[in-house]
Amino acid sequence: MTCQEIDQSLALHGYGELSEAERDAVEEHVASCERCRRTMTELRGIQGLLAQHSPASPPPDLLVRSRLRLEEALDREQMSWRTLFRSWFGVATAHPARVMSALTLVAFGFSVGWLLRPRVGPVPAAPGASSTGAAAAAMTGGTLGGARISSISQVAPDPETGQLHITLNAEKGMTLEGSLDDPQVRQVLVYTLKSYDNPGIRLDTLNAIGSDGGGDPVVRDALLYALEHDNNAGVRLQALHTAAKSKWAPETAQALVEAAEKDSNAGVRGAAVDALVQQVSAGHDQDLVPALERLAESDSDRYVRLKSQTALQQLGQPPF
Amino acid sequence: MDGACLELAGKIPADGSPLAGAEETALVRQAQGGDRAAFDSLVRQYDQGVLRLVLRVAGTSDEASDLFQEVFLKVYRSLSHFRFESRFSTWLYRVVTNVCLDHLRRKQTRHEVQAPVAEEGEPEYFHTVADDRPSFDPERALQSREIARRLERAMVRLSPRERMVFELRHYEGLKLRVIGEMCGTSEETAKNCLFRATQKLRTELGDLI
Ligand SMILES: [Zn+2]
Repeated sequence: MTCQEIDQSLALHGYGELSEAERDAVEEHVASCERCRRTMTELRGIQGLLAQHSPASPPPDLLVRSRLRLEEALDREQMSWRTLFRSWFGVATAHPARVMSALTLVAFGFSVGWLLRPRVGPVPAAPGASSTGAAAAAMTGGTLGGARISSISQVAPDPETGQLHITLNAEKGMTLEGSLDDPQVRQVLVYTLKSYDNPGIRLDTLNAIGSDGGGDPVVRDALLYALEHDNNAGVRLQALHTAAKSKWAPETAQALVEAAEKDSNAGVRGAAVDALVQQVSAGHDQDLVPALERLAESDSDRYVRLKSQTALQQLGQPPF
Repeated sequence: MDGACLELAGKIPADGSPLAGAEETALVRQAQGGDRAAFDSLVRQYDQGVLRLVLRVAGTSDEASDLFQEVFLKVYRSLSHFRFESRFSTWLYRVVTNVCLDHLRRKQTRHEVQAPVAEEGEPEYFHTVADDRPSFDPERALQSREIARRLERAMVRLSPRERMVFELRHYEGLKLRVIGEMCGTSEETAKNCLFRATQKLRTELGDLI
């Protein structure tokens, strides 16, 4: 072996990466070659230097921080059915009809029943469950996210039990049960209202949430989001009805005023006026009167103007 | 490929006791079936080791946290493609290696665009054993910091692939054959990378010995 060849072998020798025969050859050469002996000493010196100045371990807070960030990212990942649609059907913005017909053709999954109680209130803890409640325990069992939900084909309340039955198409089957108290359940509902492509399912979700569910702040936010942003007027209208019937909150009042003044659909604006009148009659918020006055005076739709005027008269307020 | 797993007895996973093969296989299958808790358990087996490696490669906490997240999200997204042809740890560290290589390549491109500036700050991630000794000697500490700075600079001189091979061999204790597999190359190339890395370290640090 030449000294150049030995150089590479010496580096590997230091890491125990030579075969027995190679090692013998290297050691034999080094014994008789001053140059390669120096190289070997130098390499050992480098190893010693590295050992003395080892990289610091990650600070504990970095591990904690990174774990938390990852948890959050995984939660978001589980919610992004839209991504799954894209990867499975290759459509960037899936047209609902196209997606649904594709779903009926592609038999890739199981239909699973997903139950949740559409009511707000404490959930009785299951035996052996932690204090966070049975629902949370069921969820942390790795279930919901694991569902790899590809579509929702039904959201229906059971008239007998009062439970909510959601049929999902998923890569793997599973059954989930949880109340609206469960953050992940709320996250699903919020996601469905905000992002799910099929307006029929969004409508069903609104019906299923009902006025009980709308009392929860997170669900209410989703309702109001749907009222403000849903591109389907029927969904906005239903969101409006559900929100108006739910436990009153200042945000609801604000959203109703916005809808009454800004919704592109006159039917929604009219319904918003009706809802506002009801709220004012119920003594909830006298501050809504100015909004009604603006509508009575200047709404582009004659029907909305008339409704607002009538409402103000009923409330004992002069229309102008 | 199954043979490779036998050589993975190094420091991966370095923290916590590695799961028994059957136990890990069961966890992977559960996670593939969509069991998030199983996935979380897998993450817990490897996350400290992964963080330690990406922190060395990244240099700053924020970048390390980004790489950490990128690694496990990739693992999560592609877990369904894992077919048990290698050990799970080998497969996972292949993801880690790719993420690190991408990071080093991006960094290299940025460095090429900017004129290299001598870094004056304290080296963040090489610490000195001497600093922890009770008989603390300021002059010695200064010398240690200088050495740590030189070490950091030397590491930057390595090409992305040389750096990864060096990290995986020197600090993670993996065999070059496995490293070759992780880097998507041959054992021979991995040997060459390790050799070139040690040559560069000799050149950069030779006067300190
Ligand atoms: Zn020689």
